[in-house]
Amino acid sequence: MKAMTRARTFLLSTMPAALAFALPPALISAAPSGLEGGPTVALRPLGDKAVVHVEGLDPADLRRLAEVDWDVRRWTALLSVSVEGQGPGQPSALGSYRVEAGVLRFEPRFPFVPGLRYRAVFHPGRLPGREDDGPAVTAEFALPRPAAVDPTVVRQIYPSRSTLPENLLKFYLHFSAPMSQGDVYDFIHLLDADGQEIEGAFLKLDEELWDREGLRLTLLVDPGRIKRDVGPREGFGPVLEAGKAYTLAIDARWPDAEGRPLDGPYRKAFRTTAADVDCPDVQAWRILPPAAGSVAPLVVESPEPLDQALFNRLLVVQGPDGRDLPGRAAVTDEERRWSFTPERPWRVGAHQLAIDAALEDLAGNNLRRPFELDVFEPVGRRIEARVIHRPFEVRSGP
Amino acid sequence: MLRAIRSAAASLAALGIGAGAALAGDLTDGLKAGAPEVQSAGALAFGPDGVLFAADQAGGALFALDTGDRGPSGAKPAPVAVEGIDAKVAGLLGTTPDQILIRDMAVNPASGKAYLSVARGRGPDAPTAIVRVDAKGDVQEFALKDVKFGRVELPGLATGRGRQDAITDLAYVDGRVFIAGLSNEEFSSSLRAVPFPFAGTGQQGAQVEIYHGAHGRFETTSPVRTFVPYEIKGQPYILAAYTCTPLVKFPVADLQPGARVKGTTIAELGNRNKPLDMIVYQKDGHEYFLMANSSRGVMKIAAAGAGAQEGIIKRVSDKAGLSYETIDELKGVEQLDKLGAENALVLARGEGGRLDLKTVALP
Repeated sequence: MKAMTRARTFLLSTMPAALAFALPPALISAAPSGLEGGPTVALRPLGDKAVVHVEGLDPADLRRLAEVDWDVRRWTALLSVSVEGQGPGQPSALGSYRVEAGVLRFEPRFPFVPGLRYRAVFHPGRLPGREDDGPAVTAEFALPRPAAVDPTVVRQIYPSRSTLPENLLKFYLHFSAPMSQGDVYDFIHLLDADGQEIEGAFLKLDEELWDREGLRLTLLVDPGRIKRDVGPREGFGPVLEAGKAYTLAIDARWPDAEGRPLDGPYRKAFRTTAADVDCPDVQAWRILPPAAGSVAPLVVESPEPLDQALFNRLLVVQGPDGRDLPGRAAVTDEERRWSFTPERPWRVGAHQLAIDAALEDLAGNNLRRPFELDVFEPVGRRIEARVIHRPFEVRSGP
Repeated sequence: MLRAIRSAAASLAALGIGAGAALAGDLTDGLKAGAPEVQSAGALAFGPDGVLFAADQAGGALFALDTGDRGPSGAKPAPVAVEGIDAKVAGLLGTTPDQILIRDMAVNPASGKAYLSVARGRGPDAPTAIVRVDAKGDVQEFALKDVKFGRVELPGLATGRGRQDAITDLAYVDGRVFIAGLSNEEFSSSLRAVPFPFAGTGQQGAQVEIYHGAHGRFETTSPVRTFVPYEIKGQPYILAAYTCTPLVKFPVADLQPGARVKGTTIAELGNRNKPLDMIVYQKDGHEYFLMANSSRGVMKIAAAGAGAQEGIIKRVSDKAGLSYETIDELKGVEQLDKLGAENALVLARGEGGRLDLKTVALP
């Protein structure tokens, strides 16, 4: 591309977007053209998006432009819109070009990022049929940043209790708003009792285990340092040891999805107990049936805390006809209590609690197999069913 | 920066075990033209005939995309090199490098062009783009409109509000696409297999559970991190690297729907070594695996013993099984794929955090 001759630069920045977009386009002021009577480049609203217009083009030029069959390279040579301040050689942003209602319009493939400066450069000399590569018309603009909202906070960390087994497998970090992804492990630290960071405590997965909304991150303690007899544990020892105190610390610098830091740092202190190597025993659960005719919750109590997400999701209540009952589950009491509130009143009769065998405790032992399975253990001793049932009876009220 | 894993389809072509699927000659025959609605392109893998497989985690689907990029047949691909590829890609998407995530890279073995799956933004709803880079260093979008494509729902993939499956790797093996993933809730290992060409919406792929039985007296269901197809005595195998160091082989023939397959651990690659990406190649008449790792650099592993190597079943304090050498010249490698028979294309993190795309000779 030839060196640009900058005729005149004008700034449309910090135009209050809400106000500007509320106005008819004609009322949005644009600085005068770079050339006397020549075309101007301006940021304009189009629906809820911002587009770049080249206005004041000669009708003959517009007609010719409407008929060209150009590739991206030709279009960007005529009109490029690129991010400013990122050094030389920035490519033009992807977008579509069209001639409509007397203007040449560039609609970006992805919306302009509020707060980021862009530069639009239009070369009138590269219009179809023109020979000269005269001065370019340029415009810089930036959409205003959205109004401040309440900062994002760490809402909860599971397990919620402050005493955890030394072979704890995972934490769930819940946030009040979607978080930025891609570098999460830079902002999460496990500290020992002296406040020293434990290196390599977590399994750093490139895929980062988020939920769909970006509100919950699953954090796995490096399983290589939980399992006995594997290299990482042999070399570096376990991450957590029974009888010690630790702190899980979240940096306030961690940006949310809008790029804003958290409200403040978050710390979860806990102590460790001996390893839990046993599968959860659903026969040991207490089931407290409600009275028929009520919509009181069914309560299930586990003697040990269970994985919060799985406990919430993997239990189903089946009515006398064997069908799943619609309703709402909740996990409370430091993940030892599951309650289910039905949509319709309970009916008298035999019910079942159907429990998916994938349910895990805090150490990743599920109903079928402990997290570490001794291969010499007879297979027959293990539960192979995918779903385990616990019957209970709903009786008429007092 | 995310560093998901590309596949090893290139090595397959070299081994000739992809031939079984190409019955009608061209894999793109059954694909329909249109605009595939890919919500979030992640793991990428090439099959033959310029077919790019892209996992769409958010959409719960696997796409086959005809790139139309067949390249000059038989030509040795030219080296590709772009300094600051992250800034170039970000500029193309109208934003800054800190606001994109390059999720995966795959090289089209037919043309030598590199394809990157990119998230434009850091939030959960970041739109997706696939860009391709040629030997001239041109960075262009592979626009997802007016392309021939196929889409199949991934069997058993969770895409609800809470539970999600993160896909860690893809590979096309002999008429099937293998997909490794792990869940954000239960700790488990599964490998899905979807026949290609996709036979329609009613078809379900296979989901197999994989154990690896080597940690002293213990075995686990740890998830597969990256894997590569590899042939042993004429039989296709999958060689999988796990989140906690072992390298495990599985016969592809055993990976049937619903199967529970126990792999054979053929190497323990040492402490603090998380595999990132892996390829198979030949040099001087010998075969090697090349594996990028999070902290142990790039390992070159002689493949000759992979067939005969007995499973490691004893307690291992550091390394065991197949041996390796560390390639000191290769630093900061996050993605790795073959570029022709003699080179690899890598995405490497350089000074100041800049991401470079460069061609390196296979060691």
